[in-house]
Amino acid sequence: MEITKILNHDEGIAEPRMKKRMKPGSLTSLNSLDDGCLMHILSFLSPIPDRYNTALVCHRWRYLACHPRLWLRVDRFVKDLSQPGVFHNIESAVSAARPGDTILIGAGGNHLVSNIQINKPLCLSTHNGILRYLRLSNPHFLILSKTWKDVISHLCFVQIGGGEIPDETTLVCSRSSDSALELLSTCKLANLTVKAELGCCLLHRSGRLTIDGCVLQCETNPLDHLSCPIVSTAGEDDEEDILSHVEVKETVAEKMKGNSVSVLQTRIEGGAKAVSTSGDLVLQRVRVMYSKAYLYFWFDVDHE
Amino acid sequence: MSKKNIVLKSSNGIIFEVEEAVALQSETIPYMIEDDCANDTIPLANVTGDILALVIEYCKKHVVVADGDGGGSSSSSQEDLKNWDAQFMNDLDQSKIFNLLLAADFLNIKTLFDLTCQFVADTMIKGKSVEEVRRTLNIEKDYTSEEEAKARQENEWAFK
Repeated sequence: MEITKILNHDEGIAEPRMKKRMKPGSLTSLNSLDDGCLMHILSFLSPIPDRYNTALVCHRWRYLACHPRLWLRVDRFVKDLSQPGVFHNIESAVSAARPGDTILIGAGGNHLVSNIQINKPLCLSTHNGILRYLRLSNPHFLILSKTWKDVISHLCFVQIGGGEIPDETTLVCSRSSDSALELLSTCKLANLTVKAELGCCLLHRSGRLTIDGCVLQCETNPLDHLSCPIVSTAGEDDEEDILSHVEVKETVAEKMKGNSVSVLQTRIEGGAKAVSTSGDLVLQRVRVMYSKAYLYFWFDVDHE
Repeated sequence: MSKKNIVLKSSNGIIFEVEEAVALQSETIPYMIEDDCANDTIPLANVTGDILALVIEYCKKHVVVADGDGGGSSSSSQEDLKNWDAQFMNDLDQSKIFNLLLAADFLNIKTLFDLTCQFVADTMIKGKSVEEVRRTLNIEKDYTSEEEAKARQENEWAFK
């Protein structure tokens, strides 16, 4: 058995609310609008900082602001690409995403990725808090054919197949490339498996990277000493250059300067060492837990 | 060719007669015509007279522009329309805006629905603090301080 997720923030999901028509005339609070209208309003906000802020207004807004309909989704099996926010591969989803968007990678199967540059703050995840409540019989079709109304009305009955473990979705980095994901901006990866045949799983160049509940594997091979699951080069080159083409407000960009990697409850396997740094960051605050089959790591890579 | 008129009746009994092309910007009205063909008047139980007047004003403006250039509007008229939309929204108070949004949703007038939603997002939420949003939009805070701290913590990765 996997150890239970310690860093669990599941609670606080609002009660699903059904669409209700209301009589106009007495409307003074935006909260008397139905979910569809309110969500449409929220969809006009940029994810950072406005949409993230709205999640703090009240429970209902949090539920809507974090709703799957506002995410980008990657699903190789979906036929109808005319739906907004649905992509066949991670590259196209990353390039279409706005800073701060969450990209949900359809559970199940392997995605072949190599050297995908991520230069805006993004969250890549197989599922987040909301979806932990969902179970779908076919994990390939997360919520793709459904509208948000269907999802809400089915919320009590559905749960994602495969459950809590990150193994269900694997990003495979082929032998010929340096890394699966190259991160140049503040990002969060959650519940993903990233596998590298040679080279590294994650190449961190700048920004604050959070890795939560992932599996990072470097395949065992005779050239093990050449590969490390995480490579951080932050601080090596001029970060001003990198930040200058990130389309975010200056104040936000200001906050996002500074580099670090935080690893939370992540399985790390293979490679010469878990993390190799060639910039000015160093490994700190390491905690390791041993379960029956795996080692789970918590650590930070930060300035001294 | 004579232009067909459609009669709309608001929830408080006010009658509006509009050209068919104006009314048909609503995707709901054609269904109501089909369902209710025996009756000449289309009752709109969810829309009051003052809001319906605004909806019709909007639809008239937009139908004229679509006609004027034989389908494809030139960039200048597109620009005019945008300015007109902005002025139109600016003249409304908050309660009218919310009701107009509801009416646009009910009547399924996509451009008006988008316009009102965008306006609310831009003027009442964008760039405002959480407390300001609550105050402007009359929303009760239902977070305990622990819950709020927790929610903040979850969003933290984006702001650090």
